[in-house]
Amino acid sequence: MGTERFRGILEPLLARQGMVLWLAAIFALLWLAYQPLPRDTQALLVGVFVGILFLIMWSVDRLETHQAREMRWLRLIAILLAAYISLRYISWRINYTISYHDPMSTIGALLLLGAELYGLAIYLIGAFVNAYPTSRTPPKLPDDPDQLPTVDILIPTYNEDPELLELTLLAATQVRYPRHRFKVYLCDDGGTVQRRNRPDIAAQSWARHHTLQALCEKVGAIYVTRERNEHAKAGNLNTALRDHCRGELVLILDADHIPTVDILENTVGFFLKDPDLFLVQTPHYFINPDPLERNLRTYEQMPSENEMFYTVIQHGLDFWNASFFCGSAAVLRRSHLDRIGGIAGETITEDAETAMALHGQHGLNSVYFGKPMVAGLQPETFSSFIVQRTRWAQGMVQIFLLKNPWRQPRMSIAQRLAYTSSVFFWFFPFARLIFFIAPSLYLLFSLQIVDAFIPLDLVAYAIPHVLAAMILANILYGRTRWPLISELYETIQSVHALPAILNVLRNPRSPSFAVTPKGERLEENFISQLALPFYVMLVIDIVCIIAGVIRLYVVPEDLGVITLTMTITIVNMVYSLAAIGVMLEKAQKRSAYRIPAQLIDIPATLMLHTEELPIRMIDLSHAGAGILSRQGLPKQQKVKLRVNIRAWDMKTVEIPARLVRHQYVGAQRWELGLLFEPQTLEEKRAIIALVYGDSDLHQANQRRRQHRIGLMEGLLFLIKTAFEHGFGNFAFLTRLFFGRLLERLQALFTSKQKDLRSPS
Amino acid sequence: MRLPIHRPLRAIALCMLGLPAALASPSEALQFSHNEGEYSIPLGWLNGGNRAPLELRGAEARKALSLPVPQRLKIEDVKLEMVYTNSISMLPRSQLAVTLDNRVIAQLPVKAHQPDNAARIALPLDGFRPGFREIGFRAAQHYTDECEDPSAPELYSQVDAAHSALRLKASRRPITPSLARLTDIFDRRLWLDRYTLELMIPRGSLGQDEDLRQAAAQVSQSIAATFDYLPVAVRINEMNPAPAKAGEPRLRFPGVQLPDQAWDGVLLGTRDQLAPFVSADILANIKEGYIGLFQSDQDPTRSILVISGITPAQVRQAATMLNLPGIALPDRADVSVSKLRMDQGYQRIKPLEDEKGWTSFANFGFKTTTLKGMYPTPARLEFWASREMQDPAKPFIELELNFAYGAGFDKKSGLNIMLNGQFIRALPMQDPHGEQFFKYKVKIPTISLRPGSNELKFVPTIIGEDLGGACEPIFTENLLVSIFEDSRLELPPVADYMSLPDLGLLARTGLPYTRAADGLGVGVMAADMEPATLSSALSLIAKLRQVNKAPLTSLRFLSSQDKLGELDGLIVVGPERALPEAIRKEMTAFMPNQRWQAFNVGSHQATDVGQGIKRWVDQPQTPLVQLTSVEKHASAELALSDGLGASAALVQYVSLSTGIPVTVLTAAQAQYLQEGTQRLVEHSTWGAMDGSAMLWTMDGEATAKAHPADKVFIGEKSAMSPGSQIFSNHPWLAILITLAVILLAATLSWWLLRQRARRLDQAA
Repeated sequence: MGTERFRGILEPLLARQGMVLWLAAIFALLWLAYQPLPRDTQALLVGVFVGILFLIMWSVDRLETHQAREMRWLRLIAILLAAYISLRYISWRINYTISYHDPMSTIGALLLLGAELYGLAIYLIGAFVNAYPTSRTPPKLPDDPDQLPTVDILIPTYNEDPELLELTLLAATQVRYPRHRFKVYLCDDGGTVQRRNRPDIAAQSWARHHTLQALCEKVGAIYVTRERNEHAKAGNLNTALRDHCRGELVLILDADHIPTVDILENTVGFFLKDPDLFLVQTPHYFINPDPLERNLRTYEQMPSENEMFYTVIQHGLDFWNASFFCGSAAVLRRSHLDRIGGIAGETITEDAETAMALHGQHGLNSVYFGKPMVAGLQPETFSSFIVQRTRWAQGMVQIFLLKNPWRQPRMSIAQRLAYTSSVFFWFFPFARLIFFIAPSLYLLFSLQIVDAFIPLDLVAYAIPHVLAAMILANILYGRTRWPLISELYETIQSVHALPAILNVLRNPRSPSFAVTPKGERLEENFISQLALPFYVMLVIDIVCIIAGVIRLYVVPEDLGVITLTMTITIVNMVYSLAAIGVMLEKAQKRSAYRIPAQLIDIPATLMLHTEELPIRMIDLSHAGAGILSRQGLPKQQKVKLRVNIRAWDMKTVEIPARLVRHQYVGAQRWELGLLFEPQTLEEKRAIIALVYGDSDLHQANQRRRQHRIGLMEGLLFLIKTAFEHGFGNFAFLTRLFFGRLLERLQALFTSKQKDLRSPS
Repeated sequence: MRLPIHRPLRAIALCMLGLPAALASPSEALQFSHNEGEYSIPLGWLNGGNRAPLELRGAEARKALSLPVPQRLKIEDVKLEMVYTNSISMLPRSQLAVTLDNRVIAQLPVKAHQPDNAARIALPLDGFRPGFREIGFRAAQHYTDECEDPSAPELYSQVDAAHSALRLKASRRPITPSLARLTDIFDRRLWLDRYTLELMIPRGSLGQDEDLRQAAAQVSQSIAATFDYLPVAVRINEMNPAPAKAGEPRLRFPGVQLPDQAWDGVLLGTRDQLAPFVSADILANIKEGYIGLFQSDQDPTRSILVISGITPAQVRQAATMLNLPGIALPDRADVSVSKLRMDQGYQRIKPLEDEKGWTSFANFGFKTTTLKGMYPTPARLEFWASREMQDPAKPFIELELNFAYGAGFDKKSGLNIMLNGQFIRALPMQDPHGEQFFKYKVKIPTISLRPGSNELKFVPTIIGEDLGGACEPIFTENLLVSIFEDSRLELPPVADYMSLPDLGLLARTGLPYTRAADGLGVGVMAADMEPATLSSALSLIAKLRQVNKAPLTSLRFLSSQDKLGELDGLIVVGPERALPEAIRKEMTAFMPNQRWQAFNVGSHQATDVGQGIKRWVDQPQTPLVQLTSVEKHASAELALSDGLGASAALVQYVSLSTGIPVTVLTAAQAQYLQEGTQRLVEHSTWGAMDGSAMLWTMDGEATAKAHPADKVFIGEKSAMSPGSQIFSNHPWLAILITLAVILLAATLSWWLLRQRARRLDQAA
């Protein structure tokens, strides 16, 4: 059976001459990577190749825009060069650096090797997945509206604020699609019969039930709920599909994902072309910073964490027909969904599980269209960020254990690798932990976990491997992920995700769906309650450095290994400091996030009674707008913003507003802050269309932050950020300590005075 | 006053000359001299030619030298002339005794006021029986009558090894013609610096038949083997039949005239060829392969060994049999060899692997050794390896040593590990209670390995906790170090992998001509059949036999007319003009510029960034700028194109036409070739061989050497793949090939992916 399956995989590969030749070339490269060489030859070889990688990295920006075809070829060369260097490194690690000294050293050595092998596997599979990213053009829709498929837009909700839901519902009900061909459903799990009957939350649930029902009625959506809260989001959606929805396609939107007007225009066409298509996924675009971006103040300059996935990796996955459902901003074909009984719910990442089932069991297709067409919210606090990421990690590990891509009958090898890349990635907390403790094993416990001649082997093997991996990552993902930032995100997640993953490994069916809190407000700065492990990590790093300094005096002959381990410890310390910086939650009082509006021309004027002032839009939110004017106006002045709404084909609307801020910025220019004061539903709709309706605005804003920086620049950025915000955390703690101390002293002083004054 | 003379000495001539040793005429090299039955053997000659004085340190000290006593000499008088120096701190009760086989022969006074002494001691003749005798020196030395530190530095005496000598008178005994006593005839105990084998052949006979040449080669090897490491030069004496003269006494070997200075001769040829030179009685006994030993007609103290047969093949068979080690010959004058069967192409015995990649000391022939006392003789282990055999990515081989040491070691004690004379590592022996170690890991840098045979030496430096001192005795009985034979060395399966050309390898091991221990596939070609050329070729073969330590029975001795056939290695010997044209052309390409010399005339500072970076990698704590400054020699080179002159040359290369290693021994004239070969087989010249070519003068001094620009690897090895080997030697080739494969794979990937992308586009 096994042989037949193996033959089944191999035969189609070998049927093509080109593929046979390619396999031969790859085996030749593997053979070359395995050849043992003297250290100086190895250093020369990898030195030349790292130099070539640097050249490719240096030229990638220019080539990406002007010579895309050549760039694809250069990307492949870069992937193979980096893979060759790293394979030589790992071959050397396995063959020459592991030997038995004592049981603990051996365990440490094997753990470190395991972590490195894991990292290499992820790195190589990732390179494979992203070898040839595609970009799609939406097919044209038929002119006859009746030929368009019917669409159900499903917005699942559990505990989100009705104000937030109103935005999403307004946007969903005004998408550019024949109105009779789509329906909008608000699937409320916060007002289920079960919750309404629970005495402790009955009043709150009933209130929510009524509020949302009224809201839906007002905006033209359909409110649905169910009896019991079973199977979380998947159960919620499936109940709606089963009991209410009859459309041919289903657009699923998270409660905080406000769609642009063209979301159906740009996605439905794919389904008309390919009857086997079950999914068109689009990016999740966020208008607010995640906790790391906000607390380290990197949001304005650095690309967001999720952009690497939605701007690069999903395109790579799409090439292999392996882009998968991400829970929202995706259109699915109802008939195909019904083949697996609706949204899958065995794991807590129902989205990826659903896609895997349709790819793996039915051989269906998926498409990724990369234009951002929803505006969403990131978790505001580190705690909610961890809740979200822990759910993803647990869910992906569940999929790895329960729905392993290598056991799916109808997947191609490329799809299996692509899913492996997506799922296996979530084991990173183990590797991160091992990399963190590895130097301390030597510095604190004298374990010999690597047998190498330092620094010669470092120069010949380790440094080229690290450089090659960083350069390749910069070539493949540099526009969306700056060097060394992935490791920071992994560090802050690892500590808290690791116990959750261990729990899944012990009992794969145990995790339950945890809803990510969104739209929280942070009234003042505070230290996250999850901060303690990072302080402990920093203390360990400092102890290791002290131990290293002592070792330099006690065993100076170990200079090489001490330098190496101390360098790694210092790198770990920088990450620990940065993580501590993230733990100082900065105040976030704004609930309506501003969207920069300067990159796109939005014709607008300000109406003052009969006078019309020309203005330039600076930023927009559903609550107001920032504008640039040639004239200063007094606060509280009532005005009307006359604006051509791009999402509505430049239709001109007037939105009532009030001036709440003014500031002279020089050169006869004033920066004014407007607060919208819509009086009608139509005015609200106009605001939503203005702010969230235009996907070009989202795309322009997204691209604004996507630019590549060099490795050294990335390193300096990380160090500067880590020290600035890490010490900011300590300064905050110090102020807090002395503030409390002062309060205590004052209290003590007051009570003493009282005691003195009292007659007794 | 009674002289302290030992009673048993009957004939004593003790002469306290009291002359300072410095007055004795200095000599540059230790000379062994022989004149009219009188021999003078410096004591240093008995000590491996070492001129260093014999040191006698401490309260009780002993030194002994081994004196070979040959069977063929009848010793008539022996005197030991001693020049010695003692410490001026000695008490009168100190003394120096001379022993012969541990029997005290003379006791010499040691006087503080007379440190430089000379003595002449007559040694008893009855003690000089054939074999190896031990001449010993014992010192009892004291500086105080009170408590004494037995290791006090002032307790010493020195015997001058260069100026002290044994003066012997000896006459040759008549030969006892017994093949069983052949080793008494060709005897390495003879007091010789070199031996010349007089090979007597009928004129032109070697040129006629390869079997006879093979026979000559075998007999040369056989004689060389009996002399072990002593240089043996072969001299061909072509005999012409002498017309019979009436009235001459009946001779065994009419027409055979041994050279005056020769010890013995070997007569080689078929029965018919030898008929004019051998008596009818002997000829009558030659019915098949024949070996006979007879007294010379000229001198009964000299012998003639006859190797003969009816056919040349039988002659070769007889000579080959003689060359086999361990063959017992009968106690009679002659013997016929009717049959000889031999396997061919057998390899040198290789040590067995204990597990993959590991060989125990026991399998290298090492037995568990316990080293005793403060200055024990180091333990030695020989193994076969070369750096190129090793995995190139691994800069060391591992040694797992099992050893133990006794109690009471001082902290300064240690076991030093040396590889080929280079210090590798010291293992501390510091625990006063003693210790046992199991699998103590030592990393041996592969850069210290030399091609072929390597010597690993364990040299303990043992210092007892109890260092002695006044009234404090030293106890050395517990100063023990054992090295166990189950220790092991990490080596790839040992094979005969080597890089060529390498004359040093040839000198040490005979490689590449001794890959098969019997020399199968190896041809030695004489460029012409002149006696000088043949002598040179046979001398070289004899030397190879000594180096190989096994008979090269399958080695072919060829003439330039012979078909070479399938050879794995070739040695060509002949004067330059007689060399085959193809050989001469190929050889010239590998010759050093004739009479080439280079001189260092000074040095200058230069900046070398590449070298600096390399050095910085080794010592990163030193600023790079300090390391880029390198000192370079300023040199002058001189090339004179005046031919080989009076020099001889040895050139090794791998033939481009046949792919086999070729070594050419040549000189401008046959006379220089013969003389040059005689010098070549001597220790000083042979040991100086190196690189791919060497020129040396007739006094044995190497005047020029050439080192190969490219090396060729031959043989089998398992640790390194051919690819790894090629890439290690040609890094830029590795870069180009890898880059080419990457470009190919990238282009193919791009093409295949683009095809898939097009299909996706079409589908969309």
